[in-house]
Amino acid sequence: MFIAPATAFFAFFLLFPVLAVILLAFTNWTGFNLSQIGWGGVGNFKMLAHDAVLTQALIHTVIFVAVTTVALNLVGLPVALLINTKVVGHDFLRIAMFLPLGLSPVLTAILWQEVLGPYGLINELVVHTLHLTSTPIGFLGNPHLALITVLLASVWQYTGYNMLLYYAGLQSLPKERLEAAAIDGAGALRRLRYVTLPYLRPVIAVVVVLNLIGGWKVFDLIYVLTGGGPNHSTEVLSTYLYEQAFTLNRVGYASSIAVAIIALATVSALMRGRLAGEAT
Amino acid sequence: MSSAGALPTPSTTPRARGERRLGPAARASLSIVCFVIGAVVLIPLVWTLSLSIRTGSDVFSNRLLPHSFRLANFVDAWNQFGLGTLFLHSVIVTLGTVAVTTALSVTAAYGFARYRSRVTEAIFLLILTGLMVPPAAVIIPFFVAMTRLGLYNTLLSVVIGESVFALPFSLLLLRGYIDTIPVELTDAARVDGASQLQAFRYVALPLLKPALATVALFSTISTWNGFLLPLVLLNNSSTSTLTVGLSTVSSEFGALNLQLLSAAAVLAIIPILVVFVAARRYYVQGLSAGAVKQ
Repeated sequence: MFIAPATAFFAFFLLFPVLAVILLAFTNWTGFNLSQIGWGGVGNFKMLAHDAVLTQALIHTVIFVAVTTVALNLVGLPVALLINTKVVGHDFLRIAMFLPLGLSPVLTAILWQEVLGPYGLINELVVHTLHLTSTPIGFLGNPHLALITVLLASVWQYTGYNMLLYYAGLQSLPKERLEAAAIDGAGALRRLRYVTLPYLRPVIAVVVVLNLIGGWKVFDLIYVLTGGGPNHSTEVLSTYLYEQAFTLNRVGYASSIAVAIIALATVSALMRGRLAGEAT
Repeated sequence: MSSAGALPTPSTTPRARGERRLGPAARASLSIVCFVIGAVVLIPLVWTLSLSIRTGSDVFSNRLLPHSFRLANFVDAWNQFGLGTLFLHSVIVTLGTVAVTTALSVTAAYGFARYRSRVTEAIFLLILTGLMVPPAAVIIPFFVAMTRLGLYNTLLSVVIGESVFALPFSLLLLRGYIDTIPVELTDAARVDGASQLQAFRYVALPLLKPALATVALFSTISTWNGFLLPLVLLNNSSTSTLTVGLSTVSSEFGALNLQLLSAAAVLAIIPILVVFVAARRYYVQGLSAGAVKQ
């Protein structure tokens, strides 16, 4: 009785769409007119395999997920340890890290456009203040730099998330163990290496999976910051799906991209069990 | 629910040994590192703020610090970009989503916590898989369904979409919290003649207030910041929500009117950051509870 409304709501608006998109992936539907749906078999998936842009989008998505996951942890954990020292200034750092988390990816994209755009802060600095180069650096316009810019903006936004999770994990670290290690003569770095990090291992495993799952969801930031360009250099699966479905009206084909995204996200989620298992 | 999540209050307990052992030189250099990293992280926000108060010519003056001060940018941005409508729509969608998500998840979480069977447990786990579904992956059938239901281009369609994506996390969080409430409390109410619904309404629900605040905060942030659903489900960006409206403003005016775009961005940032910072305790609790339980 209590669970019925939520279950029905979920089934109708999420479960049903997931199943529907899998079915749609096997149609050659173009346009959104229901009378024009036709069975397409595995045609879409064959096309996926020969679509050069899709291959790029897949590679960029995997790079995005992998690099953000690694970077968020390589920055987030040390920052959490730094804040946990409670030195003067730790509160300032914590608030600074925390603020970007509350912003929409759309605002993050706008902020970074203003910092890295042709008339942005960095180009003002490099071109007009330091006179290092005469032409603005194309952080967003240069295909070789644009993906790095996207990664940077994403790491800027979400490092606070990892920081908070690690910081919370550190609060339950048994103080006696650290003290025992200190009495035994272990320095700060050795305590970190042999006490703190092993204790955090299960937390790290969970955080890594949360980052992986979050990474597959990227859309807003890239759509607004670069629109997938220039020349598809920041195209990811979700932006390509959006373009195929809502700009080109290739609904069946876009659905097959959706199936690819769901499959990749599922694999990440399944890794959770393994990672957590290893850690305990 | 994990107590580890609370942001620490300024420490009144003696410092742990580990940190006391850091020498003054080490502490001073770590302090400097804190300030430097924090300042670098704040650059995009500070820079946007500095652009938002400049005159048009000052924006392109190649100067790092503002040499003008124009508060009228905020008024101009508000009028020129129709921010009033965009704000109103974002507020409606957010309030609607918070109401729907909270109502659905608290009743269901109570059911999942108190009536455990293989079937309910399986349904619960199925709903949790919703946590990992990227919204873009289901946006096509969702769009088709909303069109067929005659809800395309209504704020209600966005409320439904945001709610369904907020539901799994809310459910996870609330069930974990309900598990910490002793069954005896609601059972006692039943013995005294309360119906199951009354026991829930008058005994369990008041105890759930802190968890409901966390759930409301999370759905507020995710909905206020949501982009894909209003982008697809509302057909006119100038009468859409704030995020969609701003993205259009950014692509149309970003290069010409940087100071107005910045002013609009600042106006959009302020309310959500005020809520976010004021309610950070609930945010952190939800974050760690969700992460630990998953």
